[in-house]
Amino acid sequence: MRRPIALSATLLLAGLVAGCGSEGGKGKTLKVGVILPMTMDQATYGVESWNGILLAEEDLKKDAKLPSFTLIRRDEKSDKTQAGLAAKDLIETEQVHVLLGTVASSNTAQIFREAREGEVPAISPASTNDKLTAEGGPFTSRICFKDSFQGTVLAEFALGQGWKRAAVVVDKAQVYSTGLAENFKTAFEAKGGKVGFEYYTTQDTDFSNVIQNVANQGPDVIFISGYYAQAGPMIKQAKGKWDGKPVIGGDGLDSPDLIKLAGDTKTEIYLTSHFAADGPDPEVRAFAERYAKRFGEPPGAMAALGYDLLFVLMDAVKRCADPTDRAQLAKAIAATKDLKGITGTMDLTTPDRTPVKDVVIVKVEGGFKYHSTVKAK
Amino acid sequence: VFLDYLLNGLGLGAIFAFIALGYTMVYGIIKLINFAHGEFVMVGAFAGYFVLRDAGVERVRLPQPLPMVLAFVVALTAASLASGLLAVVVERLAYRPVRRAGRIAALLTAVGVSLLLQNVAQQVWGAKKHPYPDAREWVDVAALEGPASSTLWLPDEPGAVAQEGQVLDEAWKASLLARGRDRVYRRVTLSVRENQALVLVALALWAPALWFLVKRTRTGKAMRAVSEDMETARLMGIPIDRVVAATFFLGAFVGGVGGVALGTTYGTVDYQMGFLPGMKAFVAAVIGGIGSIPGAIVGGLILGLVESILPWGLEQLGWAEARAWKDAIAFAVLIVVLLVKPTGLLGKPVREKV
Repeated sequence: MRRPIALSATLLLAGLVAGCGSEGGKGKTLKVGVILPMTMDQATYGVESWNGILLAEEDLKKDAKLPSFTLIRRDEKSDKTQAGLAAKDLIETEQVHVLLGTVASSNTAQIFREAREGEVPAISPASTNDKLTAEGGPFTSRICFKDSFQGTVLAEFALGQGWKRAAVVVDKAQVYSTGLAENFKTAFEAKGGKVGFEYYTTQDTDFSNVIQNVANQGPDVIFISGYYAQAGPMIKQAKGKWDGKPVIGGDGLDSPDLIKLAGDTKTEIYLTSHFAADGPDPEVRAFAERYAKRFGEPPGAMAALGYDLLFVLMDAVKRCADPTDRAQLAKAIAATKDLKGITGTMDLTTPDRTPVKDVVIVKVEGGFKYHSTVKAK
Repeated sequence: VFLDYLLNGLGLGAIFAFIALGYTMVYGIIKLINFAHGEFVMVGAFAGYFVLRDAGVERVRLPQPLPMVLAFVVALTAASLASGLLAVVVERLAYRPVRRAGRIAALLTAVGVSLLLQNVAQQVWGAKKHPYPDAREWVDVAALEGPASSTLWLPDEPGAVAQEGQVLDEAWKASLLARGRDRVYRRVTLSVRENQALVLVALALWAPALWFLVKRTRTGKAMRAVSEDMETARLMGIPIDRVVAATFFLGAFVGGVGGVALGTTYGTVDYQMGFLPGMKAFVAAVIGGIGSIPGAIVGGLILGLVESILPWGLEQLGWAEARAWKDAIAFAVLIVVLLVKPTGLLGKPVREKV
């Protein structure tokens, strides 16, 4: 087993000596593994992200400067074990050069672990849990903001509306949920707010007691720190119990299915997200129109992040002598600077390869309506 | 507040009871723990879902105020029939051939059928959660005036024709009438509390009906005979196969009601919705004494109450973490019940035949 290692080391050296702009990697097809939740509880995330990636692929295929690339997609079924297995399969069987995915933080953590062990670069489009990239190591990065910022924005938004007591509903089975709730609590209490926690898990369908417990707290606002597949039915079941109380949520609630599942609710809902299809930026609107024309419904945040994701990757590919060299590609991704996308400007040169981006506040009212933008800091 | 937890518990417990009945009836007659029962319930819930979504009031144009009630009745009937017929087919194809091969073989077959049905449902209906349709109420366009009291819709159009609070003037009415639309509907979203009350009423109607069926009809008599001693019953000329099929049908028929109740109360259906409630209902059947019909109802209600009230009560007593332990507490109660009364609360002690 000594020879192949020595051989690849020589190749690597040759690549380095040749430097950027050499023909080293041209001619080889770049294999891009994509892991997304195409089915089960987070299916709309997977479908939207994939649609966004398809649009980006359409644009990027026209770029003659790029080497040829193929996308190999795996469904992680909204399950962290499946996400880890998909990553392993893509790395070992398909020998992909880079992994893209996934949405839920618990699931991305599994992909990042495989990426760290296999030394394959991995980028998540939408996982916001603070610790992900730090624990994932130098091969991992993401293109969205972190929950410490999202939690702060939510806390400041709530306090700005005059809501001083918040009931926080937490999904114990998701690190996204628990992490975001803690971030919210820290920021909210630092500014004089009061917080009470209630718990559910992803498998629950009966929320009647959670709803009752929240109502007993008598909060000014209810923060559902979780995903739409539970938040939607929860809001519906809360009819008659939470009347007149506003609900806020993070980007986990940003799905067209939230509205379908919440039914005929009169609850006022605000959420923080990465993007709003009717935002003020003309480029955003152009993207939203193109997306709606192609796929028949307005894009959610996941669609925009999927679109940006492939652009971030290809921007890095362009800066590589040999993008099929995984270590080189990872370095190039981490060197991404001032890349303007649909969801904002992305700079991955931060210590944990996470951009500092604006948060968009969206109001849910029959659809997702742009409310305001909170500048990154 | 105590009353709220009590009602939540009873509502949940009544759904468990509906599902537990199927477990207990089948167990009572052929000593089979039918793990596929949760999937029968799921298929029933989907049947009700399709009726409420498509074939209900949207297509059948009937006068007020029948449609809403009628839609529920049709949905429940469809759900029960779908569950029941599926159970009969499964019994014929999967369980009857292995009935003489021993209980382990039958049990494994049941687990297999459960997984098979989940997989088929996932392929056919997709793997996502479907929002359970609300009931709808028709309103004549001509009779509307002033600001709309709720959002108004047309059956085959995705968007609303009027938002809540919108002033419905003559021009608005004329534009609808000009399109040949003389009726719109509004969604009637029942609150969880109303749903729970309906489920309890349904249970109160079903319990005596089942009692009558089992104790007062010929089929019921045959069921009891088969349950007591299958071989002797066969010698007495009771058509065993038909009685077993009837039991499966009846158990799943009642389970279908539980499926619709799950959908309307908690708002969603998906292909694995039957699994966890099925497991809990099985526990309920064991608590009440498996094989006993009143036991299933009592067991279901107790399990619902334990899950709902006990954590709250313990919290009042000063254990702040109690709610996070709700499932552990429920199963601890199961163990205590079984330690004190191994055959369940209303189960008959069984003497082993030598």
